[in-house]
Amino acid sequence: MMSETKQDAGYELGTGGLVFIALYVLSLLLIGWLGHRAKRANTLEDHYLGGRTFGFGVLFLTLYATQYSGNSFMGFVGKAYRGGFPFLSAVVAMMAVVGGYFLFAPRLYRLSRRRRYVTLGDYIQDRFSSRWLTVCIVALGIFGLGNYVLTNLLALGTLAEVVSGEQVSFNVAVLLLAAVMLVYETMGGMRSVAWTDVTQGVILLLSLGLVAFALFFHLGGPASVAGELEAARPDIWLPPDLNQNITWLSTALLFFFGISMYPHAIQRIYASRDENTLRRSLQVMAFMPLVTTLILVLLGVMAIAILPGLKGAESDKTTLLMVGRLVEEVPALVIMGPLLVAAVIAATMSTIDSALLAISSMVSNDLYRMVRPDASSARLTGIGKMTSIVVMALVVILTILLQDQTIWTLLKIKLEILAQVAPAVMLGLQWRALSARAVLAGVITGVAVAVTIMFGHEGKPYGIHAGIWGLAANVLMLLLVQVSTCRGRTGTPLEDR
Amino acid sequence: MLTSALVSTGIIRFVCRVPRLLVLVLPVFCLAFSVPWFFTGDSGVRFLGLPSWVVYALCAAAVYALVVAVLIGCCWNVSAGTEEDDE
Repeated sequence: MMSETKQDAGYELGTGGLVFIALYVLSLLLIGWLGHRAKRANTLEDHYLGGRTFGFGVLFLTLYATQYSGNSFMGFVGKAYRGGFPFLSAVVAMMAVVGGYFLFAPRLYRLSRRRRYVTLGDYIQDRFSSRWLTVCIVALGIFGLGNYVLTNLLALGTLAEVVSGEQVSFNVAVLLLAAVMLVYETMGGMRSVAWTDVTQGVILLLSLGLVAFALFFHLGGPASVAGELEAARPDIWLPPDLNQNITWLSTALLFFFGISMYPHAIQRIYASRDENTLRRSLQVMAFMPLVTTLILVLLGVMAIAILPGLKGAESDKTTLLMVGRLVEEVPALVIMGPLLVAAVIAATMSTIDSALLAISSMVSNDLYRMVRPDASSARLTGIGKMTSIVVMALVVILTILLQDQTIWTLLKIKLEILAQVAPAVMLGLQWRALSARAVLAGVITGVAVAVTIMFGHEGKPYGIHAGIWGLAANVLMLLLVQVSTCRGRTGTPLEDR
Repeated sequence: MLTSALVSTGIIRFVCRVPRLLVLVLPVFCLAFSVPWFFTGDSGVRFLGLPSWVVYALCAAAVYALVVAVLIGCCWNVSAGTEEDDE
């Protein structure tokens, strides 16, 4: 029923495949409507945290689908194609994210239950009682998430254009999918988003299982193409040199301090039904890079031998080209094509909708409420929904204007900035005497250093990312200000704010 | 299952005695071991068709995942601290 062909431009779905994808996207609207029907109250907690009722299945799959985005499927494979085995650093880097959660999630979760936090800004305001600091952290969060939405929408448009054989243009695909996400997100809030994440997580795992099967059982794994690989790229067999090793560690640290600070991931920590559910979900998440990132890296590395000669932005289509090749060689895996395309769309959409929901919650709960402290929950939820529409419209326009940028470059910019939030959360939770002034000074210094280095002459001085240099400057400034102005904890309980 | 296995081998008792700060920095510290620092040049040795440093990196990643999962399972309360710390 589903016919696929591989073309020079990339992997192209047949009519059956396109119908499969269309049905999948429409099913998300149905799930969104079900989420809307399951709403218990028109409150911020219900809209943005699903009423804090997520059990293991939903919490784990929503964490998983959110952490692995379109960038993982398209950007990571392209990067592995260009960089070879040294890009295995991405496997441990994705595990490092869970290591980062360990530093703050247990304590933050308990506080969020007692003090009814909805956003990251709630914690910052409650802990430090500093509007300036809260606004600064929220602004960085919105910047990072906006960038995240942008990169993923970009990947989504490129993907739709390629797999439809340009029957669906980039602009039309971006507009249509953005509208679908907006509808189910505003209808059911976090509940709809998490339920669609469950579907998306299952599709991701199924498609990765098929890819792994094809790579190892049909193609024989990396060992079977070792000869071609060594001939095509002898450099990737050599161990990384000192500079590359430093970058390897720097990448892991950037993910540790950057990705773990995503406001939408922190909201999922708040949304857990109980502590044990959160703990078990994070334990399983620690192993997921072995069945996700590793498979994608191997796909990219093996593509060096199977599809030699892809250059620049073309290599970002490696995933689709490899799927086309695998389907050609193993016709029994014909379902893999549409399923993997659905998986990439699923990964991308689950990331965008979660980020969009987090942005809207930060604008309504952290910023609008600061100006209108007496606004009702219903009013704040309405402001949040309007924010989603405005932000999505802006991002769609930017995506259409920026479609020629490479995905990986954009991905790096947000992590460099988000990593500067880590001391406020990680140290703030563990160090009672830490003051708002010290944290604010650190954040401003860190962002300034990171941005200066990023846009300066040298991207990674001594192989270390600008975000890690920024983080070092951030912590140093924080310590200097803390020592010179030590006055004890400045936070006041939520009730007294 | 993993937690009960660790209880029976006494690993949890050992980990719980480790000072709090050390437990908290362990996930950052262990990242350094995931990097193949000690490999220079292509030794020509292959395991399952892969160079030895790649095998090291994969094993180190698996060990790191295990360490993080054990820490989350066994030292959750160490990271969470006490209620007095929150007030």
